[in-house]
Amino acid sequence: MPENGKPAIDILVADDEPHIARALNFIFKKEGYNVEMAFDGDAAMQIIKECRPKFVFLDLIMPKKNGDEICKAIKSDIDLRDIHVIILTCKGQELDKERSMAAGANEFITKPFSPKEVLSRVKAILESK
Amino acid sequence: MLYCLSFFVVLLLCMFTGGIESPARFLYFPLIVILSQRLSFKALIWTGILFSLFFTLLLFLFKTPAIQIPGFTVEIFAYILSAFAAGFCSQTKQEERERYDNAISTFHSLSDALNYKNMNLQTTLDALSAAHNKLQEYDQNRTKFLSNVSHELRTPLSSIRSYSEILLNYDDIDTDTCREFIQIINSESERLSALVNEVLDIAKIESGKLELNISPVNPDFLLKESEKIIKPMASDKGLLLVLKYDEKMPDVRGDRNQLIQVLVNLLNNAVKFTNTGTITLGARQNGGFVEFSVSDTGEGIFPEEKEVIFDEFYRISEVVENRPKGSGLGLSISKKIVEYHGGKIWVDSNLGEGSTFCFTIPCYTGKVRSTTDHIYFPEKSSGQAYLPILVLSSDITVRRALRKKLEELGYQTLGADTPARASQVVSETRPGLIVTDIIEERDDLIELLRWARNSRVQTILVSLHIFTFGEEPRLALSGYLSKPFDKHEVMSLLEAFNEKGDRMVLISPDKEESRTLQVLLGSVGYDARLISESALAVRECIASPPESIIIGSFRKNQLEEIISSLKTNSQTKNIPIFLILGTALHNYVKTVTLDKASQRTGKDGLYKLVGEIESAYTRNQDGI
Repeated sequence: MPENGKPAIDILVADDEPHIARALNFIFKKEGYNVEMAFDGDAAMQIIKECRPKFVFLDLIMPKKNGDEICKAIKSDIDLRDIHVIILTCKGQELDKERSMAAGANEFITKPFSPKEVLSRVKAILESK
Repeated sequence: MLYCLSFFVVLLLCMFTGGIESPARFLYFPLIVILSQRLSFKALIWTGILFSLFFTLLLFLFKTPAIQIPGFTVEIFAYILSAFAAGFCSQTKQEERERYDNAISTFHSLSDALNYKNMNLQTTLDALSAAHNKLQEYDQNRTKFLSNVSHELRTPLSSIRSYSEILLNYDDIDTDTCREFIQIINSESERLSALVNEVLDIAKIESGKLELNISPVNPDFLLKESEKIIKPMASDKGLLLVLKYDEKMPDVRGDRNQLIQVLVNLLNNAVKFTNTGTITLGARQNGGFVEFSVSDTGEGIFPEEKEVIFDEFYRISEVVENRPKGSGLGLSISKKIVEYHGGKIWVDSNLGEGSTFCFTIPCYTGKVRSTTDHIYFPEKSSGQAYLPILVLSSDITVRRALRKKLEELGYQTLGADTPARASQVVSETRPGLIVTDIIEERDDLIELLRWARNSRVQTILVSLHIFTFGEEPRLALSGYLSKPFDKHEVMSLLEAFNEKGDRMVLISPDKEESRTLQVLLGSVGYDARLISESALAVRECIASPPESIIIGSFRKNQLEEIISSLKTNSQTKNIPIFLILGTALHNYVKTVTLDKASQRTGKDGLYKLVGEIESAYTRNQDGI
């Protein structure tokens, strides 16, 4: 149950680039999902705690907190562990991927990405849960 | 001689031991053997002959009865023969000794040569190691740069891709939203395009391939053009754009488009970070430079960010809605362009009170008249009351001679032998110009130079020497290399005098600076040899003259000696000499040096100094 009675959302998109966040927001809303956006790490953390999204898209480099940090925090919290974390970032080197996976991320996608593909992944996973 | 006396002792001994015929005379034989160790062949023969003569003389003198002629002859014969024998022994010994000495000296010179090669090898190894480290550093920076660049490129690309895909796949988007998305695609592609251009710019500058179209550029023109470009952006945001500049500014030496690029970059930032108020675009003359400034009434900059703000990809970290994101490259490109021109860029700012970005560009100084045909001293413009020139030099002959020359040309002069004394003098009488040959970075000198800069009194640094008594002081140096060494600066300085592959000699007691320079010179195609001991270096230069000589940090008297020796020797007097100058000094002074033409004539350029003085006064007319 979410912390303070706020409605549960399906997806959180956290990215300091407003355009990217809005693009994903648009697509998911079109499909009927409940989406929230966050533009920095602290806002993202807050929304995660309050709204318990099923899915979280995290950019690696964000002001206030990085994607990896948030991922670790989520995965080490017993109530938040089940959230599906997708790291969505421009940094696509092996090292970054390893680090993110070690932090517990479920998936790692590099930009630029195809919104259609991301959408189908999300659909598949949400349906299986 | 002393040895010969010993023979007389023998004879005397004879006399005392029973006359000339006493057997004591046979002491000659062991004596001659002993002396063969010491005397030369000739000396021994003479000793033998003299002894025999004296013996014979004494014999006849004392009229010894019954001189046995055969016995006597044999005796004399024996004396002479043994002298010869001793002589031959001595000769053999001499030869052996010579051979031994030769062997020793060959050994020593081989050993010296080996030591020397060893030292050079060590220096080369150190230089290679330093070069290796530098290369690794460059490599790491490259990798970081590339990773940053790819990151930066992907961001707008993802927006373009996402939105274009959305527009293709969904039919039911309303027109307004469609338009919005297309607008985003458009602006992101512009952003991408701008980024690509900036990256190419940086690559060009870094690789030294940036072609500057150098010409005299009017600062007025630069300001007005930049204003035109920025005005629409400023008005859109409701900001006031103001121009503020001195009336009569000299032309600057630079590439017009590059300089406009720098100004526009600074103005862009100013507009970006200011929400209300005024942006002031200004220019004023400061010594041999024109100082441009862009001030805003915006947010200001954190003190710790003032230096790093010019780093590549550095962006102010606060994210604000509606603020277009820059690439972080603008300021670093501007810095590179300014430094390429020979200027400096910096920022003054207080949080909440706005910022002022300033950069300097050197003034355009016309070509100094320096042909081999006519060398003359420019006439002081009549009717001008010039403030006196302060001549600062610890060498009394140089100081006197220079003052005399300047006074002959109609200038008033003041003299000082130390920076401290100079500071005293200027506090009493304000000079129009300072001419000095002091290069040691002492606190009192820096203080004086700082005062001069703040008071808009130009300081000219020149290396003057008097090589022959009663002569005029002459310029000795062809250039100053300032630390830290900048590849482009060094190259442009040396290129005027040298070709690729030219041999140079570096004379410096400071291993650190010389190795760095040696590596740098090697990397731009010069063959630089390092010698740290000054006397040896001068001998080497005379024996095998290089194409250029670079002298490092020596004490003044040693420096004097080195330069005098080089300039008075026929083999080396026309070789261009460069001096390594400390960082601090370089910022404050204008240097006057020999160029290729004046080098060749041998009439070493005092007229250059005077020409520079004249232009300095002409430029500073308003300041007086």
